[in-house]
Amino acid sequence: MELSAPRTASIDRARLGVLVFLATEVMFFAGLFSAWIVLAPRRQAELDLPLALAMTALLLSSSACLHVALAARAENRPRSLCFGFAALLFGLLFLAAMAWEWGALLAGGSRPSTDLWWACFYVLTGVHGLHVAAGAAWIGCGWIAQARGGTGRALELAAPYWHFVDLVWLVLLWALYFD
Amino acid sequence: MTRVLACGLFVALLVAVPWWFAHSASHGPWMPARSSTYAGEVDGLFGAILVALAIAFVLVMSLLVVALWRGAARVERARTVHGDLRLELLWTLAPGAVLAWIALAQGPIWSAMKGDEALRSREPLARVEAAQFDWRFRRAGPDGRFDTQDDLLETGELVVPAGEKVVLALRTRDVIHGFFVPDFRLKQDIVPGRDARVWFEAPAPGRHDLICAELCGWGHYKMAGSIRVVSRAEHDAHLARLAERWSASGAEERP
Amino acid sequence: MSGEARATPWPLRAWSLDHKTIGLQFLGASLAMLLCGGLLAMAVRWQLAWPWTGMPIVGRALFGDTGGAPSPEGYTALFTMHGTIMIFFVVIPLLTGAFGNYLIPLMIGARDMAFPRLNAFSFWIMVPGIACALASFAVEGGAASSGWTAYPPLSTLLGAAPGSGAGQTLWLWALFFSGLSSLSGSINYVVTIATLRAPGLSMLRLPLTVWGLLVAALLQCLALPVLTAATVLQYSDRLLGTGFFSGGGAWVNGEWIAGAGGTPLLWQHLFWFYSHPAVYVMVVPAMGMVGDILSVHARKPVFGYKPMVWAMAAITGLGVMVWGHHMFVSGMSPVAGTGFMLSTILIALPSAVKTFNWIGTVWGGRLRLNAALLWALGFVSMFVVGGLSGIWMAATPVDVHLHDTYTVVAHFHYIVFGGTLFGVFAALHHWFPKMTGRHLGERLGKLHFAGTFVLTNAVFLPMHQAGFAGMVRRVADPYAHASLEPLRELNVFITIAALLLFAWQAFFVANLFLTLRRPRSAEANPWRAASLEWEAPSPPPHGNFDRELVVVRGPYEYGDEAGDDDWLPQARPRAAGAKEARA
Ligand code: HEA
Ligand code: HEA
Ligand code: CUA
Ligand SMILES: [Cu+2]
Repeated sequence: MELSAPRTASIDRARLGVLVFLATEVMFFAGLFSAWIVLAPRRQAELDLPLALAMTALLLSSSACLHVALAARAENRPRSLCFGFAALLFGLLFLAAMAWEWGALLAGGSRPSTDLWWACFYVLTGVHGLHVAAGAAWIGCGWIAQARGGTGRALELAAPYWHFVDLVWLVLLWALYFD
Repeated sequence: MTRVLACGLFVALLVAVPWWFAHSASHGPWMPARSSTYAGEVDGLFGAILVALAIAFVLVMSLLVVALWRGAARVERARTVHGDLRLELLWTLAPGAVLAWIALAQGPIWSAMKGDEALRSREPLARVEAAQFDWRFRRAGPDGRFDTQDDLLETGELVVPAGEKVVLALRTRDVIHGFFVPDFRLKQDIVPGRDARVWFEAPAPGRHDLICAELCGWGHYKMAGSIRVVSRAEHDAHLARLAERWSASGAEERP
Repeated sequence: MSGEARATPWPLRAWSLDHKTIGLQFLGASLAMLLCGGLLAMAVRWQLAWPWTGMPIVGRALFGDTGGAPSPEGYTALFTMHGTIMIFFVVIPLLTGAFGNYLIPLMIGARDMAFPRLNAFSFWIMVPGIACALASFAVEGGAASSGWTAYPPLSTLLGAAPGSGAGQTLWLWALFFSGLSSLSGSINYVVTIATLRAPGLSMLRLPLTVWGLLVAALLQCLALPVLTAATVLQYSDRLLGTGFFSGGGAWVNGEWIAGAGGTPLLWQHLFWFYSHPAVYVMVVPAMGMVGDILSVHARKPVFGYKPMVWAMAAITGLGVMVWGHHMFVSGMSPVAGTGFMLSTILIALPSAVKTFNWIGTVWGGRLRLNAALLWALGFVSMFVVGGLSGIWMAATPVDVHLHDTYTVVAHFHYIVFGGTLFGVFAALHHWFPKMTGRHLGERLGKLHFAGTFVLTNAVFLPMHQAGFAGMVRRVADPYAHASLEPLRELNVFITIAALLLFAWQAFFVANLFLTLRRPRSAEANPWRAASLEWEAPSPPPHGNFDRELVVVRGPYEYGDEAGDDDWLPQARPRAAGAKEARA
């Protein structure tokens, strides 16, 4: 007997759970951003804008791939797995690019303690990076499960989260790179 | 038996709380002396609210005790009532009115304490420099500017003139401290990175405790100082004495 | 789903997915922490009555080398950890963790939570938090000592206070873990209540207990992440030297430590944006449980159910708009002060509505004078005292004098101890038969209540006066200030009362353990209560209900119009044949 059988069958519990979780995530990033808003630091240094745009492209296309993968899965086409993998790959590439950027910046002598702007930069991008990593892990597991012939439900649940992480990145892009 | 005991407990509370507060209302043995011009108004508001709260408390608790006393003895079934809109309105609007009155009554006093023109127009008589764990007071000295060679420094006690508005600039050298003079009903946190300004007017001479109200480390408890209110003449004389002692000491020893 | 759990009997199940077991685990853990927090409180009281003298037990344990006499920094750690433990590891886990877990599925007729694994996670992730909190007493420099509010720069300048070293770091981790626990729990509650209600159980047929827990869960989801963000920022200030909260630098022990120029007020805003809602998280579930208990034992429907629900909703909404009332003297603009004054005044109204509706519930009822009812009425009266003193502080000019004095300490202890914990004792007496199949002893329970009721007031009522007189909080030795010397006797009185209060809790502990050694005797519905949890056996088996239920009416059908007995159960069995299963 399925112990906690849904009474209101219309609602997808797991999905609702993810959405509530995303609400908490919104408040979490709002809390972090409040530092940037209240302290309103000015940017001194130059940033590698092309790189940032490339990273944006990576993340967005990753989201797109995940979307296609899920759509394909719906009418169970083999494409689904390929696109799922691509989504994962782009996510990891984003992380790699970010690691490279951080390395360059730190080597260039800009540290979190340099000034408030850099403090915001490292904390915001750092926390976002952690979210991307977590999302990648989530998608990874989901992909493996699906490859093993599972339903790929985990992928489906990861999707809203993954799109949310994109959204946060776009805000970061606007706040940190275009101010 | 339990009925009597139970009701006894709640009646005891019903009596004890108002009694205890009446004891301390406004100028009882517990409230400190009123030694600033607005201390009276603050205590007035405090007392007025106390009355409102006392009425609310006595009302609620009496109802509770009566319900308890009668309910505990009741044998026939309770009536199945799910509520009463008129009552709901009554006990939303009545407290609402009291609260609205409190909100309005405190306005003028608040703006008097925070918005007095003296804060903008007057030069600070002194700058309070709080540091773990003592109170230092800096006077602008003859040139009327702070942080110059002729500044005068005192520690522990600040001497201020009676009968005039005194403006103080507050600054901390390390963590947050709280500038608290109970006799003046005056309290202001001193937050690093931002100078705060306060004003008060002490009508009569006297000495008043200055207490640090914000946790500032292990020595928070002993961060004591005092404000000594003296006549204008004495105050100026005190400054002159300070200035002498100051010029006597070599410039290099000055902070 | 949680098949492995069904195999073993519950005492053996450390890792269980059953919401009832997890609830009892929360209960045990937070009662143990209550003992720790209480002991710390006793140490605090001892120092305030007889400063710098060797104190028994706690003193011996923490300050052995000085014969039990605390050092000044030792004292700051005492109250910091007392507050931290009591709020994050006692009251919140007790209400949302223990009762939330145990009652929500039972009261909505579900067989378990929506996400049993997440539920187990929410308990076990709290354990490392408790470990961090307790371990911090042992580390170099001692436990965190910048208050449970952890205001920077005191908490971020490692040289500013001994406890701001490793102790503060562990404090941040403790908060992080307890935050994860609350968040995962809250998400689970929201989804469970949204999706797993028995057929016919519309939102407006939910017992107030469930409403209270739902409101608390929503508040947690909204506000807690902001505290988490704040702790991340404070952590990076301490670890990476970012200056989010440093106000441009400070002289610490004679040396100048430059800061990046952030503002300490940012922390205060973020902290209180969570911690004010948190105080409602600490009371609203208790309000809900008390409402139910009053109704059952007064044999009368809850008075004004809808207004009660609306009041809770209003408290949630307004709850996130009043945080500034903790910062009236922090130097915020007087206009902002006025705004927060207004919202704070406003939020008193729903509480007023609830109070009068509690009275309306017992008014004209046929009361059962048992321990549960007495504790519930105790909750109401203590909440009123504590709540009313809150009105003083909402009036800005008065708060200027009262802020950071013992009047504030009195205010919130009336609510969190006199209120919330009384509510918890009421709930224990009321639901213990369901949880364990055994009734807590009535005589011991009443004795425990009478003494605790008197002593609580003896402890916290005089504190108001100490505050009026200007006795500030968080001082190890108030008598360092000449004007506070006259308060010594008062403080000795408070301390003796507090020691007695602590000792008096022995009656509760005794009652607890004696009861647990008795055989199971409670029937399924000893109180003749209407709500769903009483349809299940006591204690409920794994899966809770032995039959499918259909909810046919609200949870409060009591009194003369309610059936030939004086109550009507909320549900009837689904299968037509199974009618006689009850009775
Ligand atoms: C569960 C906990 C809880 C609850 C429910 C409340 C409820 C309230 N609190 Fe309290 N508060 C705390 C816990 C709580 N508080 C804590 C822990 C602190 C200190 C934190 C720290 O600094 O460490 C604090 C501090 C605190 C402050 C800051 C004091 C200072 O530091 O300067 C203020 C100021 O406005 C305040 C106000 C209020 C008000 C107006 C309510 C209202 O919600 C109360 C409403 C209830 C009633 C009013 C009583 C019932 C109503 C009636 C009987 C009807 C009739 C009433 C009237 C006509 C007025 N509280
Ligand atoms: C939230 C809950 C809570 C509770 C319940 C308490 C309970 C008590 N508190 Fe506490 N207190 C706080 C929260 C709480 N406190 C907070 C947040 C602060 C502010 C900290 C700061 O400034 O940073 C504070 C600060 C504080 C101070 C001010 C310290 C200072 O500013 O210098 C004082 C002083 O008297 C005090 C005293 C007490 C006393 C005497 C009790 C008594 O009620 C305690 C009575 C004893 C018990 C209740 C334990 C009995 C044990 C059991 C019943 C469990 C049985 C065990 C098993 C069955 C295993 N507390
Ligand atoms: Cu300075 Cu407390
Ligand atoms: Cu508050």
